[in-house]
Amino acid sequence: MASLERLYLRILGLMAGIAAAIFAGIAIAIPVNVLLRNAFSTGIPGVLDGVEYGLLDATFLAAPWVLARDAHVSVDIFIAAFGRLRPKIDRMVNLLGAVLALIFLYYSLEATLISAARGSMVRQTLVFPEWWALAVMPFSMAFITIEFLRRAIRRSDHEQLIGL
Amino acid sequence: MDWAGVLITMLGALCVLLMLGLPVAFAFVAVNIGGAFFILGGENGLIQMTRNAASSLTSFQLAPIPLFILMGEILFHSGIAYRAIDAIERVITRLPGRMALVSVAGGTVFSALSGSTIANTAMLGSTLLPDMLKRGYHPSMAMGPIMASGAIAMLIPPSALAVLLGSLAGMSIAQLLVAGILPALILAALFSAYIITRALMDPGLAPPDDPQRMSLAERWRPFIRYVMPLSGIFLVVIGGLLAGLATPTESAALGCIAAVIAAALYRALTWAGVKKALMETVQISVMILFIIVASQTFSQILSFSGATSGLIRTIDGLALDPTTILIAIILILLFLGCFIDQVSMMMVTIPIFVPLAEAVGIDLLVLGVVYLLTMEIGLLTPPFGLLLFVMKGVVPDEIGMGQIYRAVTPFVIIKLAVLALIVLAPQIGTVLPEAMR
Repeated sequence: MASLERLYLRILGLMAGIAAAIFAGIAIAIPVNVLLRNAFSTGIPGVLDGVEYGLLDATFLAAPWVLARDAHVSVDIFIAAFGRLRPKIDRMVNLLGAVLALIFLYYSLEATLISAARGSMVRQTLVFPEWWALAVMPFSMAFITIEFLRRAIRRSDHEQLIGL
Repeated sequence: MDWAGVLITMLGALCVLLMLGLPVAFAFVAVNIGGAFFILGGENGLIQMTRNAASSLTSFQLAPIPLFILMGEILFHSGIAYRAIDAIERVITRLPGRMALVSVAGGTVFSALSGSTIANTAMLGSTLLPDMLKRGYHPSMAMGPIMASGAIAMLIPPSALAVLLGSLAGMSIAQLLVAGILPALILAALFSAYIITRALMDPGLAPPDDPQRMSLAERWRPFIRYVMPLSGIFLVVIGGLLAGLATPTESAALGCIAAVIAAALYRALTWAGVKKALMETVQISVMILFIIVASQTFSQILSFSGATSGLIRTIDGLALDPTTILIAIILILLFLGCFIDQVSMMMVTIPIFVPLAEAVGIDLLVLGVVYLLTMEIGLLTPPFGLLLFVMKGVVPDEIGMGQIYRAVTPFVIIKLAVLALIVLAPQIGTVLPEAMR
């Protein structure tokens, strides 16, 4: 069981690492594009599309890792007042989170499958099947569902201040 | 259900879920699931909700959020920011409340390099606070300026939340970023004036210290070496925007590269530092962006149900003048700021306040500056003011929350005064962006 959990956490870490690589890629690609545009009147084809879909992928890929680190912002001043009831409410809230993630998983999978069946395409500078972009959502939600269930079973004690 | 019922149900459910401690992003998802099913059209509405989630994020306008955060994180984790604070401390001498003034100057400088109020406050708190307490500063005089100037990062570009506000509200992000500069500088000047006045009236609050005797060169060399070059990064980011040469995304990306180059030139660039900066960027950015996943559907539900137009018609029917409505908006935002985080504040109110402002003729840029300043105040108002807890994390145990609340109060009053000034003289917020047009 412990090795399964280690593998699971490693996968979450890998997904967050891909998100970090995407952000780094955006930070490098845009200045290169500006340079090429100004110096050679050309640019990296599809950089705008790459940035937009990169944001989508990075956000969904890293969201389960952020949840595992208890770093999604939540308002915990009221829940702190529940005293001994708090663990029970935490468990209930995490189960609710799992149900919400499962609903999102189901309907985002539906959206992905419908898009694939219709052959819908994203036609911007880059042209690719739309379901490629949508598929990241059910994939991420599957991990978020697992993470909420994991939190419901074993409440994380990782407390930190989140925000800007 | 009529529009008022929809509005009350959605906001009521959201409040309950937030109070139960469900992560904000999922509280919005929960409300959206209900709204999409009952208002947008059953299962098709739910499928539409997930498609909206993708289209909410595939926006080039949102790219400066991770990039501005990355820029600040690189400077933070490379240690350059700490050297800059030390350099600023050397050049501010012989002024009453010297160390408190150093924290205002340092906070303002780092605000121009980072979009994160938390990073700013934590850095100032961990570097300056122990020294100030050791020198006999009253805890209020030590903590207040740090929290107040830490929060300025909300207003001074690069501000990640200004980008988000502009994106969600359909305002010009470039203009909004620039609009915050003048109010922020007024704030810094007023904080300094308050500190000097208080230190003169009651020297016990900030005992005059005797900084190490140094020659002029010893005093200014670190400033020229560590602070002046950093202004180059600010110029890269803001110069491009002001001159209309670069979009906010391009400015932010160029700022990241400039931060990496600066760190390399200072021989402070390590692979471990870059990795840490990137992972921190992922954590903070995804926390914000994942809430945005719910933004499009949330405003669609409010719009389709007639809640947005119904509320605007009702307020329009009251025949209130724009200033009164702006004051009402400010009061609501200040109230919300006491309890919920800044991204949620925007998500809940923008779908209502922006159409309302347009309907009654409030300049969107002025509304944007008002939003930024009220959100900044929300970071400092009890009980949920995030920076109060950041401060609690760095002070000695014997300093309680009550003392932290008291320390920040004069600075919150100054911020409220500047907010009132913006309502009375909106040009404070619009003069710089208008120069860009």
